[in-house]
Amino acid sequence: MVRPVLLNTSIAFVLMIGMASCSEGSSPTPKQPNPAAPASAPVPIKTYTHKQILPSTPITAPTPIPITKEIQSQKFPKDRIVQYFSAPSPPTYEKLTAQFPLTVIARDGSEIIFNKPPERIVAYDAAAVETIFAIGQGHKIIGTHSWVSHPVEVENIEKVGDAFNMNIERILDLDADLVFLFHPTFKEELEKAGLKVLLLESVDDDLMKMADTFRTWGQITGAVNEAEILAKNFESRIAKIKFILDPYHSGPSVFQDVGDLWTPGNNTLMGNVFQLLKLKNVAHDVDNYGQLSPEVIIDRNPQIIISSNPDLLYQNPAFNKLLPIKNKSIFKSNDDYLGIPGPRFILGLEELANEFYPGIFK
Amino acid sequence: MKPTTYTNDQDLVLTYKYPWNKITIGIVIIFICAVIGVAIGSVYIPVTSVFLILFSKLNLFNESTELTPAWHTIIWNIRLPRVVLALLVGASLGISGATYQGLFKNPLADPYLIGVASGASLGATIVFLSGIPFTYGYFSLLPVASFCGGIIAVFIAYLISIKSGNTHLSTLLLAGLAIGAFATAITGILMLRSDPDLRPLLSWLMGGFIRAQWSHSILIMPYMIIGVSFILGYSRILNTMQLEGYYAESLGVNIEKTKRILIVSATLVTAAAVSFSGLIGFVGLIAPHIIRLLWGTDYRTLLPLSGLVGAAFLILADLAARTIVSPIELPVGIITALVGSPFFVYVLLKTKGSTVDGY
Repeated sequence: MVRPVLLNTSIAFVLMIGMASCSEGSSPTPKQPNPAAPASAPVPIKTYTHKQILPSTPITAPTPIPITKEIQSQKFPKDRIVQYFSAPSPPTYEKLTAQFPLTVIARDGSEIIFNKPPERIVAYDAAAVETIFAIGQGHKIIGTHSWVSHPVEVENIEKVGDAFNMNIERILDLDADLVFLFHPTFKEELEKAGLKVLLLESVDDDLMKMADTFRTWGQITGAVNEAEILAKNFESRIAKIKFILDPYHSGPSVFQDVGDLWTPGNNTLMGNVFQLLKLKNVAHDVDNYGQLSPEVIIDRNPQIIISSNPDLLYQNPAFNKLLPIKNKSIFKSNDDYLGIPGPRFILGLEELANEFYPGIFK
Repeated sequence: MKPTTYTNDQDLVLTYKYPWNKITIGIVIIFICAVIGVAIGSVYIPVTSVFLILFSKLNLFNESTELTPAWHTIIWNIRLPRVVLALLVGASLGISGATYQGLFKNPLADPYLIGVASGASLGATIVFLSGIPFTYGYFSLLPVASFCGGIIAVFIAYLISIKSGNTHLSTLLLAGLAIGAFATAITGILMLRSDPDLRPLLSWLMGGFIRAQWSHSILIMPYMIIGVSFILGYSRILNTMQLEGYYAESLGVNIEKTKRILIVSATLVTAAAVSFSGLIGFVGLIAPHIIRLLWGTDYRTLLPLSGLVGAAFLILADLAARTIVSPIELPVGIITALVGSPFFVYVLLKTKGSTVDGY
């Protein structure tokens, strides 16, 4: 008699657990942190070209940053600039060569050995697909899942399932020589079927691991130099943000609503982004993702609210005393960038930085 | 010529006194629960301040300077509407649960029995995943869709049971189960075939009061009042329906009409409760049983008291849901099951002598 309810709740539970474990995964589920209720109008996607990310010339050092008056007025010690720029970036850029056999450490600590670069990759992860395309190896991808939509070439790549399902028979039929996963759900089944499976370390706890992931992809596919440029580019742009924000003690407090007051706390990619941008996350005592109590939000009084569906917050009378809601200034985040820990992530990050520190980043 | 079998029942009818004392106690308990629910939360507010804020609307005291506007918002716009919504939903689920159990003479019946929950979930899922903007200012489409979904599912089940030429309640029950399973399957397909983040939808399906606003309580109030007054009005007939069919007929009860009215009322109340709070299990199932084990199976007592127990239980469950792992909230359904089942077993063991009968 109670079956309908039990069925419903069990489905909800299973999915909930699925979602929760996905958020622990190396990268979020393809669209998982895309809290965009379908309700919200589609976010205008900035057309992305490789040029936007990859500078035409190899990077030697971050371009000198014009010191704004604001920073100068804070009595910024000049010798620190020298010290900063001399250390992290190598003065010259050496050409790297791919080395095989190659050993890659998987998430569970096991070693996966590549004798030659894989030619037929099933990349079951939006970030991996983007990365492989960004280093010019996109032609090697023969399969992905149906939530991957970037870059446009993905249209022609076969979809072998979605985040919850995977057509293992089809993968075998495609004769894949590497299956990359974002989540260990199908790992065992795939390995039993005799496929080479790779599951890399999660980048959720440290933003900078994203550059390492780019490099790893370069080593695996043989496009070491392209990957090095991508990684260096990422690192230098992060370093620039860090450098510019260095003199500031702390920025405004922030609350991100990814739907129904679910919010990223510590050990999440967004939590790391907030730390980098020196934004005080109101959910600083939350681990992973959690549904924050509304009274806590009011009590901690965030000065910035990020949401992909601001209307739900605007219409709740409980929140109408919060500054961003009073001013109708909830920031609509671009989940295509910040939702996928791939090459476009830095664009979303810079967007946030420009939004919350207007005029500082030039 | 007086049929002897009736004397007992007639005595019962004549000597029955409405359980005003129990209801008064119940209302007092609910009031205490509500005060506790308002006084405690994940943000600490001193109890004296809570009362000052509560009474500040009456202008009895001069507002002291230590009352921050944030506290005022927390009490008046978050905790109070939440407690009131939990009270209404708990009462709705308790009463409709008792009604379904009596109607179907089945101890496992609960408010979501004949497809209400599955229909409501399907309605909510369709609106959620269709991509149409489901909020227009203060008006939200999600509760409307879940309400309609619940009602439509039950209506289809009812049509099937009429079409089968057999308005027996078991046919309705089976039809409801079939419709419910079908709706659940479609909900599952829709969820798997869509790519937006499902978290808001999932937390609706899990049930909870995190979005509670005054407008929600005001919106479900009319359905509740209509449904509950019909159910309470028919509580005496629900008693006679516990007898074998022909006894009830011979007492002059129009069984078919009564069934129809009770099903519509209970569904209306359930759908209204579900629409804003989502699916909260266990309350409608155990609240009537607790009363039944403690005070017997007379539906005139059982119905109002089930409502009161359901309300008090849900207020406290919601309090636990929002404070146990503060600042994070748990789905209230977890608490109702976690606390409800051991308590239910305790009552079951405590009242070992009495039997759960009267269906």
